[in-house]
Amino acid sequence: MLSRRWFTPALIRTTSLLFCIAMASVSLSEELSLEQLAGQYPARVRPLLQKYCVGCHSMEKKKGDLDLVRFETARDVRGATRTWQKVIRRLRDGEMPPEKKPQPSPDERRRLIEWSERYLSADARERAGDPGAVLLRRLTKAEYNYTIRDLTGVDLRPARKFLEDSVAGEGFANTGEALIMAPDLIPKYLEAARFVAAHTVLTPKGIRFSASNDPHDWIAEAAQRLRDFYAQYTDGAGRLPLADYIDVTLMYRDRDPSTEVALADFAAQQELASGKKLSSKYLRTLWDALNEPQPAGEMAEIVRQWRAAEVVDADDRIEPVHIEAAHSSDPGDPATFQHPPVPGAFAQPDPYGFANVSGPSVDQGFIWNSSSHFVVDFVEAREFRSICLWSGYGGGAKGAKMQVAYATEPAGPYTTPEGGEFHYLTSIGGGVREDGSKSPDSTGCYVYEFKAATARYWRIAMVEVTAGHMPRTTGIHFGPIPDMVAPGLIGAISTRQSELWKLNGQVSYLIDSIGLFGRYLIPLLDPSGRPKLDSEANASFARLFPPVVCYAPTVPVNSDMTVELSLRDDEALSRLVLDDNEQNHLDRLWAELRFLSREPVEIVYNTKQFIGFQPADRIENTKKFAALLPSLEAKAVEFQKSVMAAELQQLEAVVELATRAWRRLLSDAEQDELRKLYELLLQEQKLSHDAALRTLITRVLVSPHFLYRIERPAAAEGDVALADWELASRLSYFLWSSLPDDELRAAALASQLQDKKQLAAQTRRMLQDPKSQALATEFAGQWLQFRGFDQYDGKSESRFPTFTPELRVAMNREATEFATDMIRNDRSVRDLLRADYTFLNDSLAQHYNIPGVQGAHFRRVDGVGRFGRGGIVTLGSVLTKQSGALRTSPVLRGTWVVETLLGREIPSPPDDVPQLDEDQVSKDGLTMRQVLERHRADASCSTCHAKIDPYGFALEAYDPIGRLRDADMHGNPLDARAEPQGGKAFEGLTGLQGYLFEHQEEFIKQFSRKLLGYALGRTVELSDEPLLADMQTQLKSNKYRFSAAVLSIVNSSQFRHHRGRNDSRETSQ
Amino acid sequence: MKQPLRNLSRRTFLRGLGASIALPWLESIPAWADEATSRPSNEPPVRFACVFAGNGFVKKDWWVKETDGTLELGDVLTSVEAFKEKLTFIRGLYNPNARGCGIHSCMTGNLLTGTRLASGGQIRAGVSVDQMLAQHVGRQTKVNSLVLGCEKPYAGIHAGYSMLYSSHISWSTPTTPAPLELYPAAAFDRLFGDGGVRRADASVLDSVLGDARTVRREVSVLDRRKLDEYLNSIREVERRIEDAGKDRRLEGWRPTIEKPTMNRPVDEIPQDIDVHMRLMSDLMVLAFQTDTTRVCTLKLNNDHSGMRFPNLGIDHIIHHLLSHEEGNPDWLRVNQYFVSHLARILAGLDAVQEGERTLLDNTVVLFCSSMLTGSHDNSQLPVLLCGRAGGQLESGRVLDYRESDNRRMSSLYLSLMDKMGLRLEEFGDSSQRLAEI
Repeated sequence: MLSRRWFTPALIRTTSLLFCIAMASVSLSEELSLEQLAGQYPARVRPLLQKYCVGCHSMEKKKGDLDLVRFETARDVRGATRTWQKVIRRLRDGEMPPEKKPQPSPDERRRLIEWSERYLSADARERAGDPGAVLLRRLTKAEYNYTIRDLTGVDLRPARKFLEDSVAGEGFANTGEALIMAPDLIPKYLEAARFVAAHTVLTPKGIRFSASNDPHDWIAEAAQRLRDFYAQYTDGAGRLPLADYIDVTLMYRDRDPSTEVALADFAAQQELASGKKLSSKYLRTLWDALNEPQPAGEMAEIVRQWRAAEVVDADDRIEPVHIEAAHSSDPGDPATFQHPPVPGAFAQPDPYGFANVSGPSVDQGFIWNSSSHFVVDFVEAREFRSICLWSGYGGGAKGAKMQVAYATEPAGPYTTPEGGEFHYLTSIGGGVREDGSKSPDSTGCYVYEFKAATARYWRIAMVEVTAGHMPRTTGIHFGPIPDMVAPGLIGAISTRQSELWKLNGQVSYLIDSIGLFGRYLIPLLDPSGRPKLDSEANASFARLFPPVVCYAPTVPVNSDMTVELSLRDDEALSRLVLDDNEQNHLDRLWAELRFLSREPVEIVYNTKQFIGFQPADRIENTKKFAALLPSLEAKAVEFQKSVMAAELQQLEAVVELATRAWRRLLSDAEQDELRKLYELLLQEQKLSHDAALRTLITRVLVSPHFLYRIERPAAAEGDVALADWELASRLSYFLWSSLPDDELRAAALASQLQDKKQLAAQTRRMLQDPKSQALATEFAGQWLQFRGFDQYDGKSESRFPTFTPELRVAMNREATEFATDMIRNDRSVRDLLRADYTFLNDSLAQHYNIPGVQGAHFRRVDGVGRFGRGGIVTLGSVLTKQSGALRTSPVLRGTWVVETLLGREIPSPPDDVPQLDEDQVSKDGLTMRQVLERHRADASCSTCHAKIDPYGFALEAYDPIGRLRDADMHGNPLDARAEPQGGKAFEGLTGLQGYLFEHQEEFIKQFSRKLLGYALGRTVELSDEPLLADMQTQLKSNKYRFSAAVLSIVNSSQFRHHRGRNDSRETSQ
Repeated sequence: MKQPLRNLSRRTFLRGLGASIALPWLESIPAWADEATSRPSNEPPVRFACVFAGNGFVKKDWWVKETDGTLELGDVLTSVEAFKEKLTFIRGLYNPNARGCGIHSCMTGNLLTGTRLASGGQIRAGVSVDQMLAQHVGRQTKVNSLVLGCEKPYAGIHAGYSMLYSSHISWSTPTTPAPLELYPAAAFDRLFGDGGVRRADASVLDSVLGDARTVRREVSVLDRRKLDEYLNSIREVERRIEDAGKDRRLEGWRPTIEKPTMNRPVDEIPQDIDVHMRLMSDLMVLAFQTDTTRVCTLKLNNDHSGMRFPNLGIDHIIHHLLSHEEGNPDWLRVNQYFVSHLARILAGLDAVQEGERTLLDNTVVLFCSSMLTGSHDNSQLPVLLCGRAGGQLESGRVLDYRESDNRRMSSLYLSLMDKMGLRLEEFGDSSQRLAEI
């Protein structure tokens, strides 16, 4: 370390990868020390410079911006690595001295090159592992969005109007030099922070974030989370999947008696096999009841049937599709939802998009009329050969003519299969129809069969009423028969459920019928758990098999029709199904819904309103509800207190947010400062709690602690290990362009990242995480220049009508998917050069003329090599971007191959380029190749173009938007031959791929260099050469897996250290 | 020419002090130079604008001839014919530090700074003439300068230089480009609204300023520089909040209108390039007319530009590639199209009467590119001055510096800064003025 500081290198930069070649060759001979080499300079090297170079490259003349006079000692060379690498390259290529000047002898030239290479190599070893000067980095525009996404759990993308990312260092936006701040940017950061703050939801326990900034949506989200919760245990109507439970009890009953397995374990195995989640609590209760030696009442028959039931083999069962219909024409009508679902009732209109459903029903089910029909979108084509219609209780019609039809488009045309028209008889109750026939499962399900057909859209319509009233239907079921293990048993249970429901349902809805306090679902038991209307003997049945276990729709409709905002009735679910954790979770969800909708307060208001609207002759009602008011008001007061109590928790939640946003722990002083600001906003600025909290969030997000990735090196000289949090941030911004997640935070907190094994384990985990897509977009996208291709605007849509915005999005996606797949599945980086797979959707496959890819989703497609695809060179995005607006550009494509992929340095064109007369392409009918060949006849151009054009010529078979073609735009036959300077000729894509594989070392080196530059956020320097060499070795010995390079970086001294605060090493100029 | 300190308000003094601490490269410049050298306060102020177009022009049609005090314009410039008495056409100026380094990026980032650009992944360009003015003259108006653009900046490295250089010509510090405002609505708000900051933000800003001050002590020397960008930005925005509603102008002259005469543009970047350019041009004129700022840079496109022009029926080729087709009539049409936006600006300025002169008479618009032709010839640069800088600039002339020893752009900038009341000993790579300007 000390010796390193002894020098003050002003320029420690490398731009040439030739350096590594040099190192490799030099290491074969003996290694001289830096001092020894420095000693050789005055006598062996400087005189040669004096003799051949300084005539032009002097202080005065400074040809090519180069003054070689100033290199009086070897130490001066050390301060100008980059310049010196240029010198080596020019000497090596024989470009210098120019032809017309005196030339050094071959021996002199070799001596000059060899000394320079050895000296730089020794210098690199001397400084190896220097963390370098990593300039403080602000979050890039992309990083800001990713960070907010992971901080809030919502992809808010507030950075839209930020300054566009520019690049520095190795060509990446995450380099400090490119990440500026200016007064005019502050309002943009304020705006983005306010945007996030406006999407903050204040909950009873703290805060969460929403995709919406509208409080109404927050309430809807809370209700949706409840519905999602219920949906884990029940179908959409609040029923348990009884058949699944019975299934397991029967299989357990019939299990191999020689194996001892507990019910819970057995169930767990079944769950695993079937993918269905069952409650072990309910299963145990059910099992015990079914094995009760002396079951009473209704249970006696159920247990008898259960003992006799045979299990239907799983293979013989057919998965049907069951549709629940709405009660009425207006799904938004609260009256609709205030009605409880009953077995087989219509409940969920949305997923299937019913059309023309009419006739609100005061009873269960839907009443048909001559214009009603359901169109069901099954999302993909499904085969059906029967339809089952459940009839409502009591029914109405004597019969109606129904019609089933199918289509490939929602608008039709619809085809009716043979047998698709049938006569529909409704139920008279108990599964018995008008004509006396019974439904197979005694639940009122009647099956009508027709000729099997496959289609995505299925329609059921009533054609005409043949007798009596309109028919009523409570459920529609596509498939042959319901999926039931033991149809008879299930039927026996559900029939009894229906009967009980009928007995009790009416009573419980008395109040509901006037639009108030729905007193809801489970009418079978009174609060003491006794059956209300039925015999005590049936209590055990009623407890075990409630028709529904919860009121699943959970409607938070703030309607003038109701007093309550949302209905909670899930006593049976809690009692039968939920364990303590689940119960707590459910209670929290309800608490949030009540909190956000301010229900206890609203109820008081609604009740007063209701009383006010009672007509004079309903004085009874008025009294009844007036009597309720005091207790409701007391609850409202309690609620207000809880709101006050929640404020403190919300404030603490913002402090906690700050610790995650700032990617570390906060000091006590920092926490206090936040709390003080909150107080100040309340006290002095007179803001409300809500406004103060949002302002505080804004403050957290415009803090330099959030906007910058601050590292605080110890006040030392030399290298200092990164603190745990700093290392965690470096890692997460390298791999995810975002902040550390909980697991990484925990590892940082426990100082585990200082352990290389743990660090590697975290790295592997993070690479596999979907968030590493950011590495594909940000690293690969910037390096290979496809980032932002979805916005690419360089082609005329009139000339290339198929190059639509959708196509460029697809091309961008292809590139991103390819790179993401490589990173997440740890593939060989050589797949970038050549692969037999790519990622396509239908439109991109069509563009590439690859058959057999259907659907708009992206998937991996193998065997694309024979269609001229696979590997980064054939990506539509690359081929298109590296072309002109109308024609291909061998120069752009060639430069991309040579500079971007292989990392070779091509000198800039001279200031005043001779005009490339592209008119000749059209006027004289010359091919692009011929024009370029003429251009190359000009000596000043040929040196460079000979190094570029051949690689572009090899890709001439691809047109300006990346399609394969047979002729160029003027009909000239294609010529994809390439004759690289000083190498074998090759042709076309396969030839180019072969060439790239032959030169894969250059590619691997370039990849390593770019990845390192991206990871460190700075230019790769001479002192990084040994690490670059290690990356290449690691890649080679690990089948070129992507992770090998990443792990080499993560383990490196550069990555895990920074320079101490008192470090006096000069920064590069 | 320093004023005695007691004549300065404490504010001005502190500001000057703040500037010299925060902006160390300005240490040698007295921060009150602007106030000391202001023109008489009852005279309308001089405004400075730079309008930039990338990739040069058709060389054979970029010319102006002077015969007996009358100008004749080449084909590129025909649309500014109506203002030819107020034009000064300059041939032969160049930017020596933009030569011999490569093409595009390294010719452009330093167009207004006159310094050598850092390559190899570094970013350094020096302070540009417009921002130098902004930091001095700019103090007298609500907005110190506008930096507008009509094309998104590029990410990428080209020939060893960050393409940030192709996208930015205004630099507020040697390492910080002034951000290009692409959103007309945001520019409008900055000029005539609260600029996106409210009084209520003051406590937030104060608080985060505290964060920055604390952490500044704990980071490396190098990072301190970066944090200072943040610190200074926050301070500047705090100042804006404090100054909101105050009139910063001296006694005497008042602009012809105080309030904007256009509606606030819609929030998004216009899809139509013509609409975008017109909105930005109108904002510039309005900003000057209301004396909301006196310094404005409008970058119509980037050098190395990827713009296409469906509105001209030229959508089959991007601007940069078209610029390589010197003989293509479409290239001339695109040149003329850019100049038509200049003409629109000049017409807008000339329509505003400020006493005996028009606003155009009180302005100097520098119209330029970073190369003469699309084939990267920057041995001389295309330069057209429009307006009379409040009568200080004798117009209707052609000046030819091709044979002159003193032909640096930086010399022109020194002369132009004089007109704005900012006298510097040296700027960029020059310590001489152009005697004729």
